[in-house]
Amino acid sequence: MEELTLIHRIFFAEGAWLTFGKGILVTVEISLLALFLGTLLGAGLCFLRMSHNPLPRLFARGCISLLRGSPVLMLLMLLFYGVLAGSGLSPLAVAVLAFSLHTSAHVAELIRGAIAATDYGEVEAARSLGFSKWQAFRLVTLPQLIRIARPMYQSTIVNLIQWTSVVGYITITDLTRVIYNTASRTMQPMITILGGMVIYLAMSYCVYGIFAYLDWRDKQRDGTLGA
Amino acid sequence: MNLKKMTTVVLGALLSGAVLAGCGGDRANDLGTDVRTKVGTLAHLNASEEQYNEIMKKVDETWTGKFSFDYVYYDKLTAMQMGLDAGNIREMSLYNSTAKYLLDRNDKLALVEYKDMKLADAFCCAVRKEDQELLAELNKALEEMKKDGTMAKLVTTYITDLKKGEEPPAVPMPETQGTPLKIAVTGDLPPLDLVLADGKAAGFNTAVLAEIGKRLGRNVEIVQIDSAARASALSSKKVDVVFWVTVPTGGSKVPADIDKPEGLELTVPYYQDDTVHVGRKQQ
Repeated sequence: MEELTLIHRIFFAEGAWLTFGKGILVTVEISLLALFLGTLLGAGLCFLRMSHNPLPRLFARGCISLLRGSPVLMLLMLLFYGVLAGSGLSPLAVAVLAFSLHTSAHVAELIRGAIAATDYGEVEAARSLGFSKWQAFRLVTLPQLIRIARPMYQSTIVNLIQWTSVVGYITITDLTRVIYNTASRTMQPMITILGGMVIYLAMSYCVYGIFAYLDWRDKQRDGTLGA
Repeated sequence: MNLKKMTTVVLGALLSGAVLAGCGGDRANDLGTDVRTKVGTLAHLNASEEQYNEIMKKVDETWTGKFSFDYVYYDKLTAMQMGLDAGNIREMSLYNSTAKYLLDRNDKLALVEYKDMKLADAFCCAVRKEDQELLAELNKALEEMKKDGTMAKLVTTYITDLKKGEEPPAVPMPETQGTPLKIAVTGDLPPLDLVLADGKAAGFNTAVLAEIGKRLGRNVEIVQIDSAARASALSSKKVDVVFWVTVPTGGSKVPADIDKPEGLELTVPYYQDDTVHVGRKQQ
């Protein structure tokens, strides 16, 4: 019983649940926006990276290795307190930008890997049947690419959610900040951090759930096609 | 041979061994008589650990009691507390007010008394060096608050009058039309600096700056930030004022500006607190 009272006091009492909820919203907001922008940027980077022209290829390669090789916290601090300090952008916008850039590098490599895993012979076959370049990509490569990239993309999303836990350094109160604030206020670090872990885990499982549903739906569709 | 299997078994054994050994804590301290005590302390932003160790050694030598400390640095109170729970450190070095706040909430811990140990820190505000005007205004406001008894009243309301288990009351923020004054708080040093359950910054420091805002006729805008990013936030003009801790001048072995970064100017101190040690209760 005593533990229950403690949990209630830490996570729910006096509007604490609302504060936690706000923290979760901020984390989800940054993650979703960064995922959306990062995926678009990543696709663009991948396009450049696979270009036949060496100039854009080199540029994309440089970007990817720079972004993938540097800790995202350094990138975040550098953007917020350095490069964009005078730009008047809100901390949230800078966070979304930093995480988009970081995610884009991972997504670019992920797409490149997935394209390499598809059979180029199929594209050649489609081209010889009179498909345009774009049609061959859209109708032959893309559906396979999506299926191959899906498991990796899922782990990228889960990673992204966890990376956002450093935004406290640029004056954003996200879930991690709420957890630390609460731990200091209640002086109950163990149970507060454990609770925070459960919340992050729940978010990750939501992502897993969505992907499991997509897989299940594909299987259903394949089943009806086969029959 | 099945090399893969063998490697897995060896790695597994090593890992479990490491985990088991890690659970032991520092038992050596329980056995020996004159062993150095491992003490956790909150890391200072600008002084390196080596510099700080050197200075603390000098301080330790001045005490008449027979004790010696090895310092372990933590950047969060939460981490330090978990370090104590796990047995990585034997004692935590904390401010008196924070120690009291902690002991009120955790009956497994107790103060560790040392004779003659007197080490105090003074609390002040820090501004950018070029903001001389703001510095003068802050100093004036702080001196006035000390003179007319407002500061003493804030100390009783937000620190000394707190009953066991009670959190400091919310701070009423002045609503003025003046130019906003951006101030960074960390929420990591209750009851001086904490964030209440409703997500609002509170505590003694916040109360002091609310009073300053009222006196300067400026709208106080509170920004919550990770402790380690305070100096970056100040120098990049994201905030105008941060809280800082210095060593009071006079008679101390520790140089007052040990933790003062370049390009930063400190106000007069408005509060002073002793450092005490908190450890687990003796069984």
